[in-house]
Amino acid sequence: MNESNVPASLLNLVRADLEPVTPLSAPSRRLLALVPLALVLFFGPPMYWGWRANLALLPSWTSWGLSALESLGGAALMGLALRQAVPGLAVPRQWMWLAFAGAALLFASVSLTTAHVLPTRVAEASSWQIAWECVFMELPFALPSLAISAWLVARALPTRPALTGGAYGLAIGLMTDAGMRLFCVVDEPFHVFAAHGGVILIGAAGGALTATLIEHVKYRRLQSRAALH
Amino acid sequence: MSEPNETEVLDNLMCEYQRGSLAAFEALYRALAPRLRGFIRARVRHDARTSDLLQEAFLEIHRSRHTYLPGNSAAGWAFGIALNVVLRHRHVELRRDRHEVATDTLELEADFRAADFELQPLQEALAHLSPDSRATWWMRNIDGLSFDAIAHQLGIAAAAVRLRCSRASRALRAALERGADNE
Repeated sequence: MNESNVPASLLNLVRADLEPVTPLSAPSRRLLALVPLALVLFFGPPMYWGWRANLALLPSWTSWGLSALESLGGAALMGLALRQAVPGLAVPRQWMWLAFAGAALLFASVSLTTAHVLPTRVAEASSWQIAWECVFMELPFALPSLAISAWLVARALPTRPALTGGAYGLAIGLMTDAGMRLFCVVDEPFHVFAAHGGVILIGAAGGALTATLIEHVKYRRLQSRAALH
Repeated sequence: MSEPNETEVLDNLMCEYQRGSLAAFEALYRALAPRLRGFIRARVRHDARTSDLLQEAFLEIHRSRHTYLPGNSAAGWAFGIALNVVLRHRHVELRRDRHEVATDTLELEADFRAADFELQPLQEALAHLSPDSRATWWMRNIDGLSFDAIAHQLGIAAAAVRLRCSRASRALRAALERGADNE
C-alpha cells in the first residue's frame, strides 16, 4: 500500500491545529515536582490531627525510619506510574504487578514490625468505630492527592490506564499511611490492615477507576474531533 | 539511511513537529506509517480495520505530540501510541460484542414469542427459564447450532454453553413432568 502521502482528512486535521507544544518533562522531573505533596502527606496527618501519644515509646527507626521507607516506596511507585503513562517508556505488565506485590509487602512488613515493637490494642467493642475514624481522617489527605496525580498522568497517555491508575493510587495510599502511622496510636494488625490498608485499597481502586474514566473521555473527544473533520 | 542515522533523523523530525512544522509531520508519516501499519496489522489481522486504526494512531500521535520526550526514540514513542490505539480498539470491540449478544438474545426472545407451538406445555415450560438459558437452549435445540458456535455468538466459553443447555434441559424436563402429573 502506498504510504507516501498523508490522507487529506488527516492532513487537514493536523493543519488546523499545529500550534507548537511544550514537551512533557521527564517522569523523574515530574516526580520531583511531587516532593511537596509527599511532604504534605508525611507531615500533614500528624500535624493536623496530632502526633501519636506513644511516639516517644517507639524507637526512631520504627517511627520515622519505617514511615520514611514507606513514603519512599510510595514515591518509587509514583515514579513508575508516571513513566508508565508516557508512550514508549511503559514497563512490562509483569513489572507493574511485581511493584504492586512489593508495595503490599512493604505495607505489611512496616505494620507488622511496628505491631511487634510496640503492640497497642483497642477494646474489641470499639475496634470497628476506630477503624472507620482512621479511614475518614485519612481520606481528606488521600483524595486531593489522588486528584493531583490523576491530572499529572492524564497529561500523558497511559497505554494501560487501569494499571497506571492503580499504581498512582497505591502510591498515594502508601504515602498517606506513612504520615498516618505517626498519628494513629493503634498498631494492632486488625486495625492497621482494615483501616489503613483499606484506604490504600480505596486509593488503588480509585486511581484505576479515575484513570480509566479520564482516558475514556479523552478517547471520546478524539473520536468526535475526527468526526468533525 | 543507516539505523542510528534514521533514529536521529526521526527524533529531530519529532522535535520540529512539536515546534509546529507540517513538513516534519508529513516526513514522519512517510517514515513511520508503513512500520506502524505492519505493527497494527499483526495485531488486528484485518486490512480495513488496520487502515482505520493507522489513521487513528496518527490522530493520537498528533493530539499527544507533547508526550514525546526529546532525546528518546521517536519510533518507540509512536509504537507505544499505536499499541495504545490497538488495545483501545480491542476494548471497544469487546464491549460491542457484548452489546450484540444482547441484541441476538432479544431477537431470539421475539422468535420464541412469535413461534406457533403446537406443544403448548413446552412453550409454558420454556417461559419459566431465564432469558439467557432460553436463548442458549433455543440456539442449540431449535436452531441446531454447535456449542462452539453458540459460545462464539454469546461471547462465553463453550463449557458454559454446555452447562446452560444441560441445566435448561433438566429444568424443562422437570417442568414438563410436573405438567403431566397435574393432568
